[in-house]
Amino acid sequence: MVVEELPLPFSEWLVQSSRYGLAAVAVFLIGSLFFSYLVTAFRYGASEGFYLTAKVMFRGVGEFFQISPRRITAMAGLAFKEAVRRRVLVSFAVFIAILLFAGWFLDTESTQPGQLYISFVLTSTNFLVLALVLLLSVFSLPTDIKQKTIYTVVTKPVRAWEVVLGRITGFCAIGTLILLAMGVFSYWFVVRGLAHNHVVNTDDIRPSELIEGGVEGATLKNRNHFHSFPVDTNGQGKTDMRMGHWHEVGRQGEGENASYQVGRARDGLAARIPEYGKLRFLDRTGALAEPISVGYEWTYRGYFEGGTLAAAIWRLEGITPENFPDGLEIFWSISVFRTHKGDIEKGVSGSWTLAHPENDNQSPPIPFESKEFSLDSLYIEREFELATGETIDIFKEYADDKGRMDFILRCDDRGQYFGVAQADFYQHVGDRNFAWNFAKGYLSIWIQMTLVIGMGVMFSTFLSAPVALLATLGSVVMGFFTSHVKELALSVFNPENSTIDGGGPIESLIRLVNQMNVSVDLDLGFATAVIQALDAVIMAFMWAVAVMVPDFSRFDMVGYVAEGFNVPADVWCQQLVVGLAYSFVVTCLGYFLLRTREIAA
Amino acid sequence: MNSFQWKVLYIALMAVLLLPISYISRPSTPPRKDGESNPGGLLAQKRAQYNLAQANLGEIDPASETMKLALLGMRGVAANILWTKANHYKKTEDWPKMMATLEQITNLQPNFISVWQFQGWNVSYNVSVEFDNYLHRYFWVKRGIRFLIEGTRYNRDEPRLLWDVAWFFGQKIGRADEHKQFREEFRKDEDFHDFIRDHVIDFDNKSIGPFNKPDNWRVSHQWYLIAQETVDSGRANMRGRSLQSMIEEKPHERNKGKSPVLFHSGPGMALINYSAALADEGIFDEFSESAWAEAGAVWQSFGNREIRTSRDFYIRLNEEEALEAEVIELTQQLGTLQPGLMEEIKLKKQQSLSEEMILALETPVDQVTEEQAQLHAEAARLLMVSPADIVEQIKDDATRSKARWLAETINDKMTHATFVKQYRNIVNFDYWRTRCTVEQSEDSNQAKKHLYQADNDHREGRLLQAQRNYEIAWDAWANIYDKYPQLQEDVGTEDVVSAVKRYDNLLGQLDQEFPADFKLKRVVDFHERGRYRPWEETGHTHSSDHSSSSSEGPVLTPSLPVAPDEGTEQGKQEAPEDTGNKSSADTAIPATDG
Repeated sequence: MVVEELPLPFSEWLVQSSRYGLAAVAVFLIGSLFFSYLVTAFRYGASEGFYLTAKVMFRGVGEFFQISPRRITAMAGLAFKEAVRRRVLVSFAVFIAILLFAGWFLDTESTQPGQLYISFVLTSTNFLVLALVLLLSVFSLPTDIKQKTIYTVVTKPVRAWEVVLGRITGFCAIGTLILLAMGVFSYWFVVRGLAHNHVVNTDDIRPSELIEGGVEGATLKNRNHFHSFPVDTNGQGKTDMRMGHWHEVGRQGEGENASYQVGRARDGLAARIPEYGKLRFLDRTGALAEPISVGYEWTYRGYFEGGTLAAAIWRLEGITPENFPDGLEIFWSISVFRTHKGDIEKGVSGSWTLAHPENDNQSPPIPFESKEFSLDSLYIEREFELATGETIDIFKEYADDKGRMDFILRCDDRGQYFGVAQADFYQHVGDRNFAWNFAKGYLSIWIQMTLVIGMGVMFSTFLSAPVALLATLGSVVMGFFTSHVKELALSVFNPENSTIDGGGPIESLIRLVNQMNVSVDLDLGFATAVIQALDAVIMAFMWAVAVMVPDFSRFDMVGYVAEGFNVPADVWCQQLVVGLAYSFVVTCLGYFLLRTREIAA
Repeated sequence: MNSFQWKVLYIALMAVLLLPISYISRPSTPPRKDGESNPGGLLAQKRAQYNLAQANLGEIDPASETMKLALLGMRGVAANILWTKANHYKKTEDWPKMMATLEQITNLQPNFISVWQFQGWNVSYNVSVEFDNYLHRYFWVKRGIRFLIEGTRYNRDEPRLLWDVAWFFGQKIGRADEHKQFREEFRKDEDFHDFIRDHVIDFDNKSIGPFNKPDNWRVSHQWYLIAQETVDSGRANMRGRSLQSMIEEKPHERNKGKSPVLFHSGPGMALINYSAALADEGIFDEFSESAWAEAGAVWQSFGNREIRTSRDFYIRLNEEEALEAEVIELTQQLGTLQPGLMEEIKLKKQQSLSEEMILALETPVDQVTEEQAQLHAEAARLLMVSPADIVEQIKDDATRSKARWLAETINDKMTHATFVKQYRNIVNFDYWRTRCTVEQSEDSNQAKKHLYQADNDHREGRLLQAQRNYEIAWDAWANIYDKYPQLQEDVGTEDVVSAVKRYDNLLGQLDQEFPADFKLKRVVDFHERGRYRPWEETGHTHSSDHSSSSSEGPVLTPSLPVAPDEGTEQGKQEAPEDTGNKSSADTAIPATDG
């Protein structure tokens, strides 16, 4: 699985983010107070403005601590009923229709159907739910205000906090119910869609070349693939891994009457728990160095040379006999770069070596033949025999007292290169339940949903419904492209070191209309400077918005779930905290903005 | 006017506009029992004329139509986003998602031919080479071919796509670096055969090659024939700017579509490549001869086909000799109108030459300097007596009018012949015609067979046997080059020269001198430009060419010259081919790794 940045441990992240978050809140608070003071001072004078600002602020804080859960529940109930009246359940029907006709759109020849199915259901749920709650949240308050039904609420002793929180809670409740239903159906769709079996043609069974007394054969094709398998003398066997899964095979009967049963697909829906290590590279002289670039545009992987002292080394922690009493199972995927063809029919050779972090103890190299774009694995027994006949314990020989061990990857073929990234090697620590992992994927959608509801309700407190819709939609879109907008803004501010060519919005529009290549200078004389200055202003604004809105791309857990990796607790806890923090901020904003409307007489 | 009156006016205008719209948009109706049918309005008539109706283009996919409708007119935006995503997934090597995205793109743009062409090439040529394992590369080559064939379902009778399918079957499987492995995998790939069987008529008879299994080149041939048939039958639609459309277009507007001479050379070249591949795999004698005979027959019929030129007239590649003969005869006729006139004109022209030019003309060819060579060429040009020169000098009106007619006819025929010559050069017509004839001869069979056996013997250590086989092969080659000297200087003969070097290496292992009376000296000299003359040197250092002992598998038999590039147009396609190795230094580095 591609992991551009390994997640920080939650506690470490919390400390770092708290500092940043508190600073941001302080700046925002001071800025808001100052801005409010300016507005009120302009309307009522300096001293009156100060008095009003302080009054609203202290009243707001005071009312916050007087929030009534009963009233919030009542408001939430109203919002819930309103949503049901608006036929939000139609969205569920749309979702079911999408699932029913999914076969029309899904690639039936995919080599990774599990990934495809999971990505499909998670992505379609994500967009459908966000669109639903977006529409729901922005129309509620403005409709009440327009129809003047809001007065029936505010004339009761319902505070603005409760109005805002009640709506957010109510919409979250209905959204959660819909999401829950979608999750259940999605899970059923994925499991049912991937479930399959194979039949074995006994005429194809022949004696095995690898297992004495055993047999080997192949299944018939089903779902665009088949499997090969060996069966031992006990009548048990496993198929090879194809399309991300394998099956158990069992023999029934003996001799000519034997039949072979293929079990259900295994590991197609998994939630592996990987333990990643820290990666470093050695150059051809064996010195620490940066990895080589072989010219690919995507620089996720670094390469090192074969047939030399160059290597990639991962240092893992927690390698203790208590954790792994029988041995270690390591997984890796590598990229291969050949500078000459060599033997086309054979993979490039490599080897693994276990090494002690603090002394020169190294295991004999364990050779393997490289397989690109697939996960390879190796089980290293705890005790193995050296060529001298001596038996060693890998933990005693190669792990230090802190439980650290180095895993050295070398390419054995001269003139060929291996390419690796930090997340390309991991130790398989265990497995989580796939259903729970799938639910975590939906949890991230739920967090995004609450953010959209919060923003929608907040905008609707002071904007009309269509404008609130645009504002919320714009924020969500900006949220999905936050990193791109920031990168673009930096490129516009600093053209000499830009990573994105083509300039800002106005320059891009001119280039589009004139079909100018992005690498050509915008040669319009004085107008160029004006355009670039305007673009800088626009991008400054967009950069400010991008910094303020939540980064929705960070809530994307589809990759983890689809590729069969456990969503780490560090990650979803971080998302939860971010979601709660943003929800709190937009609720506060919503309260103060609603207060400014002076709806109550 | 008040609001109500404005509304009435608007509604009235709408009603009036409905009249021309309904007239133009009237649907056509199928013929009734009484034979009457309604061609419909202008739009329906144009659709029928150019085969532009959705159902005429190909299959209609409900998923595709649903997606297009659901996007509410934002199909272009969605397509842009999907293309960007596909490029991103290709960059990040996320192949399942890339293919899923391509599926969505073709759902949105099923009738945009370039989409199928570009992405089909992308998958078969660019994505496949990203994989290290040749089996995975083969899988992705097939994936691209399937993708293209899928495109032909939605764009029926689209010759460009059909031609591309044929090209992929032939060139990508048969000419890739891994062609040996790919051809073997293709023979065994029964699932793929089942898939192809649905699209190719009589697959089980016409696509069978050696070992009684389907051959990729023969399958390629079948697809070329399908593409040709859509054009010949007139079904190829204008929307695709196929060859058919060139009839209506002005020459300067024809910047799309495939050149007819390249298009129609496909079937013949597929069989020629098939026949050449047999020799690489050690298949000779009757099987090979019949393959070359079939290829020769198809090539001959290609030569007899009318090909439209860029000047809007038709030629046949086989007619060059006939045209030249006609020109000679007509020139003689022109000469007889006023005997002696031609010589008179020539004499006058000679007298107008400068002294240097005369000297250059008189100097033997092997003694001229560079400057004299240029003067020689210039002088020859000035001395040429054209038909117009003769017409100008004829005084009698009646004779001059006949002379003028003859001159115009001669010029037309010469222009025609020039075009035929140029078009022949595009597809190397002469070379392949000769090759098809030579390959059917016994000398050729002996040469290829004994060379193949010699290489095998050399590799397996049977040195004396290898020497005998090499020498038999040289005798056969010498006979071939005596009969067809034009083949000696062809670039394909370099394989023969490589074999000579291996023979030299063998002699070194046997501690024997290179024979002074070696029969292929001229061939070797031409290609090595005198740098390698092993027959001259006593104590010569034998060649270090170890390619016969390589463990890469059977050495390619340097039977007869390998064809130069078959055409120039394919190189213009958007996604450049990458060979089975991602390094740019690939072809320069010899495969020394055993």
